[in-house]
Amino acid sequence: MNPFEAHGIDHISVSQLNLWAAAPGIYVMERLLGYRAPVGAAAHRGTAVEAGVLAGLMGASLKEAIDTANAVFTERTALSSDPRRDKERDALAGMVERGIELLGPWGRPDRVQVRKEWRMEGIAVPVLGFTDAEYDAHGLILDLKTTHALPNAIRTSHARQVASYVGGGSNMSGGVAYITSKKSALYRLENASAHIASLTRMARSLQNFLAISTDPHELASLITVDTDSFYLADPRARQHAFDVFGV
Amino acid sequence: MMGFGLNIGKGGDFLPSIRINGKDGGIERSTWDGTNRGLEVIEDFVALFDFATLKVGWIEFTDRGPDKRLVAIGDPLPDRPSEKHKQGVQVAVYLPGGLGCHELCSTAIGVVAALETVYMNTVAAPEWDNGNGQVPVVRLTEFIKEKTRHGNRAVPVFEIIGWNDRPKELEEHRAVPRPRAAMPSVSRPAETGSTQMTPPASGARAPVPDFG
Repeated sequence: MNPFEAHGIDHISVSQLNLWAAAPGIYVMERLLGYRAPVGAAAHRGTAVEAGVLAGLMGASLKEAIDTANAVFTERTALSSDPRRDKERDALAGMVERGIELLGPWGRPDRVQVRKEWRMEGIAVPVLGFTDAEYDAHGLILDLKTTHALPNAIRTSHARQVASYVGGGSNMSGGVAYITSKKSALYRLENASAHIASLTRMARSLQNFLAISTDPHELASLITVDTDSFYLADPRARQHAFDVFGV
Repeated sequence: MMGFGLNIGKGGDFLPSIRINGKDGGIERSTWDGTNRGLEVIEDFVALFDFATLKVGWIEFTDRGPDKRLVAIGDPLPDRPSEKHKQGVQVAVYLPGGLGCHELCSTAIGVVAALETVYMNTVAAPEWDNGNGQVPVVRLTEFIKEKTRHGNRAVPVFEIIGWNDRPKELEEHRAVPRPRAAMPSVSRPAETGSTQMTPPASGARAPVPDFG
Protein backbone atom coordinates (compact mmCIF):
# COMPACT_ATOMS: atom_id res chain seq x y z
CA MET A 1 0.00 0.00 0.00
CA ASN A 2 1.45 3.36 -0.99
CA PRO A 3 1.68 6.23 1.53
CA PHE A 4 -1.36 7.99 0.09
CA GLU A 5 -3.57 4.92 0.16
CA ALA A 6 -2.46 4.27 3.73
CA HIS A 7 -4.21 7.53 4.58
CA GLY A 8 -7.26 6.94 2.40
CA ILE A 9 -6.11 9.30 -0.35
CA ASP A 10 -6.74 8.03 -3.88
CA HIS A 11 -5.85 11.25 -5.71
CA ILE A 12 -4.37 14.66 -5.07
CA SER A 13 -5.16 18.09 -6.47
CA VAL A 14 -3.08 21.17 -7.04
CA SER A 15 -5.06 23.04 -4.42
CA GLN A 16 -4.24 20.28 -1.91
CA LEU A 17 -0.56 20.57 -2.77
CA ASN A 18 -0.74 24.33 -2.44
CA LEU A 19 -2.31 23.87 0.99
CA TRP A 20 0.39 21.36 1.93
CA ALA A 21 3.02 23.90 0.93
CA ALA A 22 1.36 26.86 2.61
CA ALA A 23 0.21 25.25 5.84
CA PRO A 24 1.23 21.61 6.44
CA GLY A 25 -0.49 21.59 9.80
CA ILE A 26 -3.79 22.63 8.27
CA TYR A 27 -3.35 19.95 5.62
CA VAL A 28 -2.93 17.29 8.29
CA MET A 29 -5.81 18.65 10.32
CA GLU A 30 -8.24 18.85 7.42
CA ARG A 31 -7.16 16.14 5.01
CA LEU A 32 -5.82 13.42 7.30
CA LEU A 33 -7.80 13.93 10.47
CA GLY A 34 -10.99 15.20 8.85
CA TYR A 35 -11.34 18.37 10.93
CA ARG A 36 -12.71 20.57 8.18
CA ALA A 37 -13.98 24.00 9.00
CA PRO A 38 -16.80 25.46 6.93
CA VAL A 39 -15.66 27.17 3.74
CA GLY A 40 -15.81 30.95 4.02
CA ALA A 41 -17.99 33.27 1.96
CA ALA A 42 -14.99 34.32 -0.16
CA ALA A 43 -14.59 30.80 -1.51
CA HIS A 44 -18.29 30.60 -2.32
CA ARG A 45 -18.04 33.98 -4.06
CA GLY A 46 -15.41 32.48 -6.35
CA THR A 47 -17.60 29.50 -7.19
CA ALA A 48 -20.63 31.70 -7.77
CA VAL A 49 -18.87 34.22 -10.02
CA GLU A 50 -17.31 31.43 -12.00
CA ALA A 51 -20.73 29.91 -12.61
CA GLY A 52 -22.13 33.27 -13.68
CA VAL A 53 -19.26 34.19 -16.00
CA LEU A 54 -19.22 30.78 -17.65
CA ALA A 55 -22.99 30.98 -18.15
CA GLY A 56 -22.53 34.35 -19.82
CA LEU A 57 -19.74 33.09 -22.05
CA MET A 58 -21.92 30.16 -23.10
CA GLY A 59 -24.69 32.50 -24.24
CA ALA A 60 -26.72 33.64 -21.24
CA SER A 61 -27.57 37.32 -20.98
CA LEU A 62 -25.75 39.43 -18.42
CA LYS A 63 -28.83 39.46 -16.18
CA GLU A 64 -29.15 35.70 -16.41
CA ALA A 65 -25.43 35.31 -15.67
CA ILE A 66 -25.67 37.50 -12.57
CA ASP A 67 -28.79 35.66 -11.46
CA THR A 68 -26.88 32.40 -11.81
CA ALA A 69 -24.08 33.73 -9.63
CA ASN A 70 -26.53 34.97 -7.02
CA ALA A 71 -28.38 31.67 -6.97
CA VAL A 72 -25.18 29.66 -6.50
CA PHE A 73 -23.97 32.00 -3.78
CA THR A 74 -27.28 31.90 -1.92
CA GLU A 75 -27.39 28.13 -2.09
CA ARG A 76 -23.84 27.77 -0.83
CA THR A 77 -24.07 30.32 1.95
CA ALA A 78 -27.60 29.66 3.19
CA LEU A 79 -26.31 28.42 6.52
CA SER A 80 -23.13 30.47 6.62
CA SER A 81 -22.38 32.65 9.61
CA ASP A 82 -19.44 34.31 7.88
CA PRO A 83 -19.69 38.06 8.62
CA ARG A 84 -18.30 38.78 5.14
CA ARG A 85 -21.24 37.14 3.44
CA ASP A 86 -23.11 40.33 2.53
CA LYS A 87 -19.96 42.07 1.31
CA GLU A 88 -19.21 39.11 -0.95
CA ARG A 89 -22.77 39.02 -2.24
CA ASP A 90 -22.59 42.74 -3.11
CA ALA A 91 -19.49 42.09 -5.22
CA LEU A 92 -21.05 39.34 -7.33
CA ALA A 93 -22.74 41.43 -10.02
CA GLY A 94 -19.70 43.57 -10.73
CA MET A 95 -17.41 40.58 -10.87
CA VAL A 96 -19.66 38.69 -13.28
CA GLU A 97 -19.90 41.74 -15.52
CA ARG A 98 -16.12 42.32 -15.49
CA GLY A 99 -15.52 38.65 -16.23
CA ILE A 100 -17.80 38.62 -19.26
CA GLU A 101 -16.32 41.90 -20.49
CA LEU A 102 -12.83 40.41 -20.23
CA LEU A 103 -13.49 37.02 -21.76
CA GLY A 104 -16.43 37.67 -24.06
CA PRO A 105 -14.20 38.89 -26.93
CA TRP A 106 -12.47 35.48 -26.92
CA GLY A 107 -15.73 33.92 -28.04
CA ARG A 108 -17.66 30.98 -26.73
CA PRO A 109 -15.43 28.39 -25.00
CA ASP A 110 -15.34 24.98 -26.63
CA ARG A 111 -15.51 23.35 -23.23
CA VAL A 112 -16.02 24.46 -19.64
CA GLN A 113 -15.30 22.65 -16.39
CA VAL A 114 -13.14 20.01 -18.06
CA ARG A 115 -11.86 17.19 -15.86
CA LYS A 116 -8.11 16.71 -16.07
CA GLU A 117 -6.34 13.68 -14.66
CA TRP A 118 -2.60 13.20 -14.94
CA ARG A 119 0.27 11.56 -13.13
CA MET A 120 3.49 12.88 -11.73
CA GLU A 121 6.64 10.84 -12.02
CA GLY A 122 7.27 8.95 -8.81
CA ILE A 123 3.94 9.84 -7.21
CA ALA A 124 1.64 6.95 -6.42
CA VAL A 125 -1.72 8.64 -7.00
CA PRO A 126 -3.05 10.74 -9.89
CA VAL A 127 -3.65 14.47 -9.86
CA LEU A 128 -7.20 15.62 -10.55
CA GLY A 129 -8.43 19.06 -11.49
CA PHE A 130 -10.98 20.96 -13.54
CA THR A 131 -10.22 23.69 -16.05
CA ASP A 132 -12.67 26.58 -16.20
CA ALA A 133 -12.69 27.14 -19.95
CA GLU A 134 -10.90 25.84 -23.03
CA TYR A 135 -10.64 27.51 -26.45
CA ASP A 136 -9.42 25.26 -29.25
CA ALA A 137 -9.10 28.03 -31.84
CA HIS A 138 -6.88 30.08 -29.53
CA GLY A 139 -5.06 27.07 -28.04
CA LEU A 140 -5.94 28.46 -24.65
CA ILE A 141 -6.87 26.97 -21.29
CA LEU A 142 -8.21 29.45 -18.75
CA ASP A 143 -8.62 29.56 -15.05
CA LEU A 144 -10.85 32.16 -13.50
CA LYS A 145 -9.96 33.78 -10.18
CA THR A 146 -11.95 36.35 -8.27
CA THR A 147 -10.34 38.74 -5.86
CA HIS A 148 -10.90 42.13 -4.28
CA ALA A 149 -7.45 43.41 -5.31
CA LEU A 150 -6.23 42.89 -8.86
CA PRO A 151 -2.71 41.35 -8.92
CA ASN A 152 -0.18 42.52 -11.50
CA ALA A 153 1.04 38.99 -12.24
CA ILE A 154 -0.16 35.44 -11.84
CA ARG A 155 0.17 34.22 -8.28
CA THR A 156 2.46 31.23 -7.93
CA SER A 157 -0.21 28.90 -6.57
CA HIS A 158 -2.45 29.82 -9.51
CA ALA A 159 0.40 29.36 -11.98
CA ARG A 160 0.89 25.82 -10.69
CA GLN A 161 -2.81 25.14 -11.11
CA VAL A 162 -2.97 26.28 -14.73
CA ALA A 163 0.36 24.64 -15.52
CA SER A 164 -1.08 21.33 -14.36
CA TYR A 165 -3.91 21.74 -16.87
CA VAL A 166 -1.70 22.85 -19.71
CA GLY A 167 1.01 20.24 -19.20
CA GLY A 168 4.72 20.63 -19.75
CA GLY A 169 4.82 19.80 -23.43
CA SER A 170 1.32 20.77 -24.48
CA ASN A 171 0.53 22.93 -27.50
CA MET A 172 -2.07 24.72 -25.44
CA SER A 173 -1.12 27.86 -23.55
CA GLY A 174 -2.52 28.82 -20.20
CA GLY A 175 -3.98 31.98 -18.82
CA VAL A 176 -5.37 33.21 -15.54
CA ALA A 177 -8.25 35.67 -15.59
CA TYR A 178 -8.35 37.81 -12.45
CA ILE A 179 -11.61 39.56 -11.79
CA THR A 180 -12.53 42.16 -9.21
CA SER A 181 -15.83 44.00 -9.12
CA LYS A 182 -14.18 46.97 -10.85
CA LYS A 183 -11.19 45.66 -12.84
CA SER A 184 -10.01 42.57 -14.62
CA ALA A 185 -6.90 41.22 -16.33
CA LEU A 186 -5.99 38.11 -18.24
CA TYR A 187 -2.34 37.07 -17.83
CA ARG A 188 -0.50 34.54 -19.94
CA LEU A 189 1.11 31.68 -17.99
CA GLU A 190 4.88 31.42 -18.34
CA ASN A 191 7.23 28.53 -17.56
CA ALA A 192 4.61 25.81 -17.29
CA SER A 193 7.24 23.06 -17.12
CA ALA A 194 9.01 24.72 -14.21
CA HIS A 195 5.76 25.01 -12.28
CA ILE A 196 4.96 21.37 -12.92
CA ALA A 197 8.44 20.47 -11.66
CA SER A 198 7.70 22.45 -8.49
CA LEU A 199 4.39 20.66 -8.08
CA THR A 200 6.13 17.32 -8.43
CA ARG A 201 8.62 18.23 -5.73
CA MET A 202 5.78 19.34 -3.47
CA ALA A 203 3.98 16.05 -4.09
CA ARG A 204 7.13 14.10 -3.28
CA SER A 205 7.53 15.93 -0.01
CA LEU A 206 3.93 15.11 0.87
CA GLN A 207 4.42 11.48 -0.13
CA ASN A 208 7.59 11.24 1.95
CA PHE A 209 5.82 12.82 4.90
CA LEU A 210 2.86 10.44 4.68
CA ALA A 211 5.28 7.52 4.53
CA ILE A 212 6.57 8.32 8.00
CA SER A 213 3.52 6.85 9.69
CA THR A 214 0.09 5.45 8.95
CA ASP A 215 -1.16 7.21 12.09
CA PRO A 216 -2.26 10.78 11.26
CA HIS A 217 -1.97 11.77 14.91
CA GLU A 218 1.69 10.78 14.86
CA LEU A 219 2.16 12.90 11.75
CA ALA A 220 0.37 15.79 13.49
CA SER A 221 2.85 15.49 16.33
CA LEU A 222 5.68 16.29 13.92
CA ILE A 223 4.38 19.74 12.96
CA THR A 224 2.28 22.59 14.28
CA VAL A 225 0.22 25.51 12.97
CA ASP A 226 0.35 29.28 12.83
CA THR A 227 -2.66 30.22 14.90
CA ASP A 228 -2.82 33.67 13.29
CA SER A 229 -3.18 32.09 9.86
CA PHE A 230 -6.30 33.03 7.89
CA TYR A 231 -6.92 29.31 7.62
CA LEU A 232 -7.88 29.46 11.29
CA ALA A 233 -9.98 32.63 11.11
CA ASP A 234 -13.15 30.65 11.64
CA PRO A 235 -13.62 29.95 15.38
CA ARG A 236 -14.40 26.32 14.64
CA ALA A 237 -11.18 25.87 12.70
CA ARG A 238 -9.31 27.57 15.53
CA GLN A 239 -10.84 25.11 17.99
CA HIS A 240 -9.89 22.19 15.76
CA ALA A 241 -6.30 23.41 15.71
CA PHE A 242 -6.28 23.55 19.48
CA ASP A 243 -7.77 20.08 19.71
CA VAL A 244 -5.21 18.61 17.32
CA PHE A 245 -2.06 20.57 18.04
CA GLY A 246 -2.71 21.97 21.51
CA VAL A 247 -1.85 25.51 20.45
CA MET B 1 30.01 17.02 -10.10
CA MET B 2 30.35 16.03 -6.49
CA GLY B 3 32.81 13.44 -5.24
CA PHE B 4 32.18 11.53 -2.06
CA GLY B 5 29.46 13.25 -0.12
CA LEU B 6 28.14 10.63 2.68
CA ASN B 7 24.37 8.35 4.38
CA ILE B 8 23.61 5.79 7.11
CA GLY B 9 23.36 2.56 5.21
CA LYS B 10 20.80 -0.16 5.52
CA GLY B 11 23.31 -2.73 6.74
CA GLY B 12 22.94 -5.70 4.45
CA ASP B 13 24.46 -9.12 4.52
CA PHE B 14 27.94 -9.82 5.77
CA LEU B 15 30.50 -9.79 3.01
CA PRO B 16 34.08 -11.09 2.93
CA SER B 17 36.48 -8.20 2.65
CA ILE B 18 39.15 -6.97 0.31
CA ARG B 19 42.10 -5.45 2.13
CA ILE B 20 44.35 -3.00 0.34
CA ASN B 21 47.62 -2.29 2.10
CA GLY B 22 47.90 1.45 1.73
CA LYS B 23 51.28 1.53 3.42
CA ASP B 24 53.35 -1.11 1.67
CA GLY B 25 51.14 -2.11 -1.25
CA GLY B 26 49.53 -5.45 -1.87
CA ILE B 27 46.00 -6.71 -1.76
CA GLU B 28 44.36 -9.61 0.04
CA ARG B 29 40.98 -11.25 0.21
CA SER B 30 39.48 -12.67 3.37
CA THR B 31 38.44 -16.30 3.02
CA TRP B 32 36.01 -16.13 5.93
CA ASP B 33 33.30 -18.71 5.25
CA GLY B 34 31.40 -18.24 8.47
CA THR B 35 33.63 -20.59 10.49
CA ASN B 36 37.19 -20.36 9.33
CA ARG B 37 39.17 -17.18 8.91
CA GLY B 38 41.98 -16.75 6.47
CA LEU B 39 43.60 -14.39 4.02
CA GLU B 40 44.52 -14.99 0.42
CA VAL B 41 46.85 -12.75 -1.57
CA ILE B 42 45.44 -11.54 -4.88
CA GLU B 43 48.10 -11.22 -7.56
CA ASP B 44 45.99 -9.66 -10.31
CA PHE B 45 43.08 -7.80 -8.81
CA VAL B 46 40.23 -7.36 -11.28
CA ALA B 47 36.66 -6.80 -10.10
CA LEU B 48 33.35 -5.17 -10.88
CA PHE B 49 33.20 -2.00 -8.80
CA ASP B 50 29.59 -1.09 -8.06
CA PHE B 51 29.53 2.49 -6.89
CA ALA B 52 25.75 2.24 -6.45
CA THR B 53 26.71 0.42 -3.23
CA LEU B 54 29.07 3.15 -2.13
CA LYS B 55 28.85 4.35 1.43
CA VAL B 56 30.95 6.98 3.11
CA GLY B 57 31.42 8.08 6.66
CA TRP B 58 33.47 7.30 9.76
CA ILE B 59 35.36 4.07 10.35
CA GLU B 60 37.53 2.80 13.18
CA PHE B 61 39.47 -0.40 12.59
CA THR B 62 39.81 -2.25 15.90
CA ASP B 63 41.00 -5.67 17.00
CA ARG B 64 37.35 -6.69 17.23
CA GLY B 65 36.63 -5.56 13.72
CA PRO B 66 35.74 -2.28 12.09
CA ASP B 67 33.25 0.13 13.66
CA LYS B 68 31.52 1.78 10.71
CA ARG B 69 29.16 4.76 10.74
CA LEU B 70 28.39 4.99 7.06
CA VAL B 71 25.79 6.62 4.89
CA ALA B 72 24.88 6.48 1.20
CA ILE B 73 26.15 9.22 -1.07
CA GLY B 74 23.66 12.05 -0.91
CA ASP B 75 22.84 11.77 2.79
CA PRO B 76 24.40 14.03 5.41
CA LEU B 77 27.47 12.66 7.20
CA PRO B 78 26.82 11.42 10.72
CA ASP B 79 28.67 13.03 13.61
CA ARG B 80 32.18 11.75 14.15
CA PRO B 81 31.81 9.11 16.88
CA SER B 82 35.32 9.52 18.29
CA GLU B 83 38.76 10.88 17.54
CA LYS B 84 39.79 7.38 16.54
CA HIS B 85 37.26 7.23 13.76
CA LYS B 86 38.60 8.32 10.37
CA GLN B 87 36.75 9.28 7.25
CA GLY B 88 36.49 6.35 4.91
CA VAL B 89 34.54 4.64 2.19
CA GLN B 90 33.05 1.24 1.52
CA VAL B 91 32.01 -0.24 -1.79
CA ALA B 92 30.86 -3.70 -2.85
CA VAL B 93 32.98 -5.32 -5.54
CA TYR B 94 32.35 -8.53 -7.45
CA LEU B 95 35.24 -10.89 -8.03
CA PRO B 96 35.42 -13.28 -10.97
CA GLY B 97 35.85 -17.04 -10.75
CA GLY B 98 32.80 -17.62 -8.60
CA LEU B 99 34.22 -15.60 -5.70
CA GLY B 100 31.33 -13.15 -5.85
CA CYS B 101 30.65 -10.09 -3.74
CA HIS B 102 33.25 -8.65 -1.43
CA GLU B 103 33.45 -5.46 0.53
CA LEU B 104 36.23 -2.99 -0.06
CA CYS B 105 36.57 -0.64 2.87
CA SER B 106 39.34 1.80 3.61
CA THR B 107 40.32 4.94 5.45
CA ALA B 108 43.81 5.17 3.91
CA ILE B 109 44.10 8.53 2.20
CA GLY B 110 45.83 7.17 -0.89
CA VAL B 111 43.34 4.34 -1.30
CA VAL B 112 40.31 6.58 -0.80
CA ALA B 113 41.70 9.08 -3.32
CA ALA B 114 42.26 6.30 -5.85
CA LEU B 115 38.73 5.04 -5.34
CA GLU B 116 37.39 8.55 -5.73
CA THR B 117 39.16 8.89 -9.07
CA VAL B 118 37.64 5.71 -10.43
CA TYR B 119 34.27 6.74 -8.95
CA MET B 120 34.35 10.08 -10.76
CA ASN B 121 35.28 8.39 -14.03
CA THR B 122 32.50 5.86 -13.53
CA VAL B 123 29.64 8.24 -12.86
CA ALA B 124 30.72 10.40 -15.81
CA ALA B 125 30.59 7.46 -18.21
CA PRO B 126 27.47 6.90 -20.33
CA GLU B 127 27.56 3.18 -19.52
CA TRP B 128 26.87 4.02 -15.87
CA ASP B 129 23.56 5.71 -16.76
CA ASN B 130 23.04 7.25 -13.37
CA GLY B 131 23.54 3.91 -11.64
CA ASN B 132 20.98 2.10 -13.75
CA GLY B 133 23.36 0.91 -16.45
CA GLN B 134 26.48 -1.23 -16.38
CA VAL B 135 29.23 -1.42 -13.78
CA PRO B 136 32.91 -0.90 -14.54
CA VAL B 137 35.43 -3.72 -14.73
CA VAL B 138 38.34 -2.33 -12.74
CA ARG B 139 41.93 -3.58 -12.61
CA LEU B 140 44.51 -2.61 -10.03
CA THR B 141 47.43 -1.87 -12.34
CA GLU B 142 50.10 -0.84 -9.86
CA PHE B 143 50.97 0.74 -6.56
CA ILE B 144 52.85 4.02 -6.56
CA LYS B 145 55.12 4.13 -3.53
CA GLU B 146 55.54 7.47 -1.80
CA LYS B 147 57.33 8.71 1.25
CA THR B 148 55.40 11.18 3.33
CA ARG B 149 56.17 12.88 6.63
CA HIS B 150 53.93 10.26 8.21
CA GLY B 151 55.86 7.37 6.64
CA ASN B 152 55.56 5.23 3.55
CA ARG B 153 52.44 5.21 1.44
CA ALA B 154 51.37 2.93 -1.40
CA VAL B 155 48.79 4.52 -3.64
CA PRO B 156 46.86 2.06 -5.80
CA VAL B 157 46.17 2.92 -9.42
CA PHE B 158 42.85 1.63 -10.72
CA GLU B 159 41.93 1.45 -14.37
CA ILE B 160 38.53 0.87 -15.92
CA ILE B 161 39.14 -1.83 -18.53
CA GLY B 162 35.55 -2.55 -19.53
CA TRP B 163 31.90 -2.58 -18.53
CA ASN B 164 29.66 -5.41 -17.45
CA ASP B 165 26.02 -5.90 -16.60
CA ARG B 166 25.45 -5.67 -12.85
CA PRO B 167 25.15 -9.12 -11.23
CA LYS B 168 22.01 -9.62 -9.15
CA GLU B 169 24.10 -10.17 -6.03
CA LEU B 170 25.33 -6.58 -6.17
CA GLU B 171 21.78 -5.23 -6.30
CA GLU B 172 21.24 -6.45 -2.74
CA HIS B 173 23.92 -4.09 -1.51
CA ARG B 174 22.73 -0.96 -3.25
CA ALA B 175 23.00 2.08 -0.97
CA VAL B 176 19.94 4.29 -1.20
CA PRO B 177 20.01 7.78 0.28
CA ARG B 178 17.08 8.81 2.39
CA PRO B 179 14.39 10.74 0.53
CA ARG B 180 15.07 14.42 0.21
CA ALA B 181 13.79 17.30 -1.80
CA ALA B 182 15.19 17.36 -5.32
CA MET B 183 17.64 20.09 -6.11
CA PRO B 184 16.31 22.15 -8.98
CA SER B 185 18.57 22.64 -11.96
CA VAL B 186 17.82 26.35 -12.18
CA SER B 187 18.97 28.98 -9.77
CA ARG B 188 15.83 31.03 -9.31
CA PRO B 189 12.08 30.45 -9.09
CA ALA B 190 10.24 30.55 -12.40
CA GLU B 191 8.25 33.63 -13.31
CA THR B 192 4.51 33.02 -13.31
CA GLY B 193 3.45 35.44 -16.03
CA SER B 194 2.52 39.13 -16.02
CA THR B 195 1.85 39.66 -19.72
CA GLN B 196 -1.72 40.64 -20.36
CA MET B 197 -3.47 38.73 -23.12
CA THR B 198 -5.72 40.38 -25.62
CA PRO B 199 -8.19 38.53 -27.81
CA PRO B 200 -7.31 38.07 -31.49
CA ALA B 201 -8.95 40.67 -33.71
CA SER B 202 -11.08 38.12 -35.48
CA GLY B 203 -11.02 35.51 -32.78
CA ALA B 204 -14.55 35.80 -31.54
CA ARG B 205 -16.68 33.03 -32.96
CA ALA B 206 -19.78 33.81 -30.98
CA PRO B 207 -21.52 37.10 -30.45
CA VAL B 208 -20.47 39.04 -27.40
CA PRO B 209 -23.17 38.70 -24.75
CA ASP B 210 -25.59 41.54 -24.48
CA PHE B 211 -24.40 43.90 -21.76
CA GLY B 212 -27.47 46.07 -21.91
